Amino acid sequence: MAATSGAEGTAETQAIWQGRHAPWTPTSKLTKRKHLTKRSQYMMETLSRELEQQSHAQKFPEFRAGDILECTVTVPENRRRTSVVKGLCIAKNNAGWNTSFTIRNIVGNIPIERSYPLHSPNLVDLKVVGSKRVRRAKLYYLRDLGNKFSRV
Amino acid sequence: GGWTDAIEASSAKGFGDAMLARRLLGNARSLCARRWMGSQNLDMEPEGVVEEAGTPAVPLESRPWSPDSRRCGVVAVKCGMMSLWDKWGVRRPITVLWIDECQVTQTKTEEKHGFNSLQVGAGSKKKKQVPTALLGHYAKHQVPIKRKLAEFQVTRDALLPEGTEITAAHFVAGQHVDVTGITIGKGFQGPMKRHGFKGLPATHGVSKAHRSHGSTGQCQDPGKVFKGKKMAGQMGKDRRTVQNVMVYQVDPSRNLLYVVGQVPGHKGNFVLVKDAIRKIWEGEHLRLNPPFPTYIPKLEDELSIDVADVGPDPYEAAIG
Repeated sequence: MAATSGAEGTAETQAIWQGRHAPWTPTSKLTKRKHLTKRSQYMMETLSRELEQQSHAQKFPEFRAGDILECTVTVPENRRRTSVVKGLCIAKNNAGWNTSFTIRNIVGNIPIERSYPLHSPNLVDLKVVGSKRVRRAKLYYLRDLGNKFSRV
Repeated sequence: GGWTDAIEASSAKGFGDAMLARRLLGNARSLCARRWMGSQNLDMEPEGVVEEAGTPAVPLESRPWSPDSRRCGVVAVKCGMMSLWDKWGVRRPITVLWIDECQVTQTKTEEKHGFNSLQVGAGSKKKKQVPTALLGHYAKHQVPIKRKLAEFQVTRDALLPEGTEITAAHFVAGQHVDVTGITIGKGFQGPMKRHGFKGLPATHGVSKAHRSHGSTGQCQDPGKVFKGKKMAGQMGKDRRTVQNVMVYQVDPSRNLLYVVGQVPGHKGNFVLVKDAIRKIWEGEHLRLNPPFPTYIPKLEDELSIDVADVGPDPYEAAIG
């Protein structure tokens, strides 16, 4: 996934740094210079946010652990055929560009958990089709309970 | 005063002011010396990319590669890691390297120095933070003050004039590079972590020696411990090179290199990036044709992101 080029970036990209300098501005052009470690962090955050902005995953709905999701995924190993995967979201790891989630379902009496990066090109579509009342951010306790609690 | 007369006399003889300052004032600790140094404009911008300063004339022009050619490298900042998906949907771990105004600060030639090399500098520093000797060095070669200097040995045909900026466009997506950096320091570490020793059993009577190195040698012959015996000690914070790192993407307008995998060192540290020597032996530079001796910008050039060609669909190959 190639990001938009340009030292100035698009208007959307510029909104990320909100009137400050762009993170790749040469040091000699800065009046106030922070430590390179901090500036590297600023750089990585900006690149991550820019990739997120342009990602196809922007149109996916907001969801959290406890929601029942239907994901349309392409399977590269199977000639990129799309298949629909349904399950209960038991974990969502918010990490910007590297955001991922895990869905759990019972398929033929066998519990199956699958994790997907949110911005993966293999994740074509995501729909929220229901939700369960939960009081946790991560529902790993379902692994110790019986199958009937994870079945959707 | 006496020493101001000496400066005028020497200027008449054609000495550079900065060289004279170094000779007369040493570390410039006296107040009058510091005042004089302050009045000199020592962090001036070079007037043009092509100008040389006092060294044998080296023209800035494109040349063809020869099988023995070695190009200059670049000083970059390790910014951090992320992941990118390529066009086949394969996820690749990426390290982002940022080139902060890397310029040639000194050209060393065979005639004068006995070898051909280019000293490059990256980053920027304030004048007050730099020792006078370095200020004189930058003034002599008419380059701005740099934070990090490094030297790369090159072949005769790859020499560049002082002041030439080496940008990310120096590299081509798909080529391989060797990245050198100072590794993350781990402090004083035991032999199990430092050298991968297996240690001793956890039970069966072993007394307080579970992570020790055990024996250090033989008996009366040789009767000593060999030099270089692997033992506990400082681990990390030393210079290492990771070879054959593929450049996945080049962003010339932002001076960013996206390389696959990891490079030594912390985020925010400087690393040296040069063409992978093992791939040069395989002839990669003749096949991919990176700009030689460096990328020379032209007004009509449109700088776009260059993404590596990652070959045929690996999933098709797997299915067959």
